[in-house]
Amino acid sequence: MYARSTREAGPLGRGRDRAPVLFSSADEPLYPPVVRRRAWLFGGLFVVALVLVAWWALFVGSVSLSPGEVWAALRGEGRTAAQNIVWDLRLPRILAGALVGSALAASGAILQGVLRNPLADPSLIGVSAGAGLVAAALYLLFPENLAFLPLGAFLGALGTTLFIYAIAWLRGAAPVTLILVGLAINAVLGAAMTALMVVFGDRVAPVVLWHAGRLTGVSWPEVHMAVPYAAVGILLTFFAVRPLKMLLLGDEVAASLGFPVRTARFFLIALASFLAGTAVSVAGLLGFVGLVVPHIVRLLVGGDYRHVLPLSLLFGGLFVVLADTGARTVLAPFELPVGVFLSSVGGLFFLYLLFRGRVGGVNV
Amino acid sequence: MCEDRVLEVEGLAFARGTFALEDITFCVGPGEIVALVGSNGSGKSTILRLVMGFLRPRAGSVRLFGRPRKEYRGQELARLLAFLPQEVPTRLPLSVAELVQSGRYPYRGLFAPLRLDEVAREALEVTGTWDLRHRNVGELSGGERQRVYLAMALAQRPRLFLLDEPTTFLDLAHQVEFLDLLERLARQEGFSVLLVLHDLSLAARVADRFLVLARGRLVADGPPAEVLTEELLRDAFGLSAAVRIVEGVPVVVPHRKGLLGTTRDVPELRA
Repeated sequence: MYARSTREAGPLGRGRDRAPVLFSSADEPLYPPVVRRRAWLFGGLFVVALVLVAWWALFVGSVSLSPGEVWAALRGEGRTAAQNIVWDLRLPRILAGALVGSALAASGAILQGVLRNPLADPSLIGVSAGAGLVAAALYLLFPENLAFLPLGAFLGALGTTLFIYAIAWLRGAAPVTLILVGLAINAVLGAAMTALMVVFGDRVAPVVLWHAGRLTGVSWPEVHMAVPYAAVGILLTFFAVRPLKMLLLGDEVAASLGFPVRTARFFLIALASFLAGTAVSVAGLLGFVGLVVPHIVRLLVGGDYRHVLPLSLLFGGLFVVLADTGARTVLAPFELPVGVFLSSVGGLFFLYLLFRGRVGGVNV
Repeated sequence: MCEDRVLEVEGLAFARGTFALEDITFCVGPGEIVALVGSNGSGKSTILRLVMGFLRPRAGSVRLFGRPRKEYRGQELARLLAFLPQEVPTRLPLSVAELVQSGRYPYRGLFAPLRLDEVAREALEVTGTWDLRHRNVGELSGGERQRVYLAMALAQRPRLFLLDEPTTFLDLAHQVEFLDLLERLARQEGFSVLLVLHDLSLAARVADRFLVLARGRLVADGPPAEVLTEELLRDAFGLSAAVRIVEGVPVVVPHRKGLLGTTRDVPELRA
């Protein structure tokens, strides 16, 4: 009907036999190299910092160990007490912190893109409310049976997200709709949680701690349980980059390119909930990481998701391990919940970055 | 009217609240540039969205190349039909090259290598945006941005372009620049254009044909010089104006105190 030959007639179709004088190289990248160099620089920096912080976290705490003792304990030599502290308390806790931080930061970064809202974080899609309600119910109603707490929190988070999405879908699942439906469901679940806590006022201490976000007492069983989920979530995060970029174009432009906007949005939100749910099942409702880490990364390397997502993974892990180590040392032997330490120190750090306005020449 | 139809719209009806479109029937032929004009709120953008399938009509049909639009899958459709909404995202953390390369999505899918391909390069070249390729989309001026989005749409290699007021935020020179570029490319490439424009004189400069929308219906369909009359302006726009032919193109000059009360509601200033 419309032969290809007619469309090959114009300058757009003739390119193949025209000498590419205008083009500097046959393999033109989509970015100026300077942006990529900066991303690699910060990536390297974060990795080094993560290793150093993790190393430091092995020494400090309510019992200080010397480098010799830590090294010996890691090789399975030396005092049994030191070995126990390093292997059973500090190492799993560092790993858990890194996983939790990575998962939350990636979740936040994905949501801020999908919902096109810089204030988006996992709590917006019901992760905190869903997991929080399940956790409160388990702590308060079945305090002797907490083995199901991580799984329950995970399912509560995921289930609430799917519920919010299903309702928003009825009205087209636009970002604003999702946010508003999320607000409503969060309010309802939050009310149920508060009601539970009022009724069982005498037992709320562990719930409050869980809601603040803590890594106290987290050990290998929790880590073993979370690793497969976190690994899958983190791997999938890399596949979220391109769909997020398509969604950036706006629903209509993306749809006009043939991109399945609603399907993509669903899978990205499900992934964000999966990541955050995994984190929550280990550390409780650790807020602030998902909201602020992606912003810090953006301040450092710009808004390109190709850099924001991987660097959020790294920086999220670094951030939580650092904060948790801080939380258990500043007032040692007393331990602050990591969530409290994170939000206070992290909040001030974020303010500082904001008021510097420009970090390394990348405009906010 | 148009043989070898690229786009056929027949008996399209749509309603939302008090707004309604009735019996919208028109077609666009190959290589034709058709301007859809009408007053604010007359439903021009709605018609484009109905054609795109973003809105569901109450009745009527949309056919592309003789086939119902619904039968095309997303990417297949995107290879025939490109769309630029009136408001495109401005603050995007994307480079120009990347934005234009995303116009290749219908052909290359989501996980193609991060390289500019041949077609995207030429789209950058012919729109004069090659030198901007490493810039961030958020840093561009209005005129540059429109050309970059045009390049993205060109990279789709569509047979039909739908543009919703592509010159809204541009000064006069940049409006002319954009429309001239669009016209030149359409003539060279042979693609068809259906565009919504507010400036009737500018529309008359580029369009082969006018579709005039008023009160939810198409009230005129024909070459600008025939359609654009003082009577039509009065009827469709509520404006008393003179129409002069300048360099073969009808030009609209509104009379002083030319508002006829259909645009009403704005009280006259008193000295």
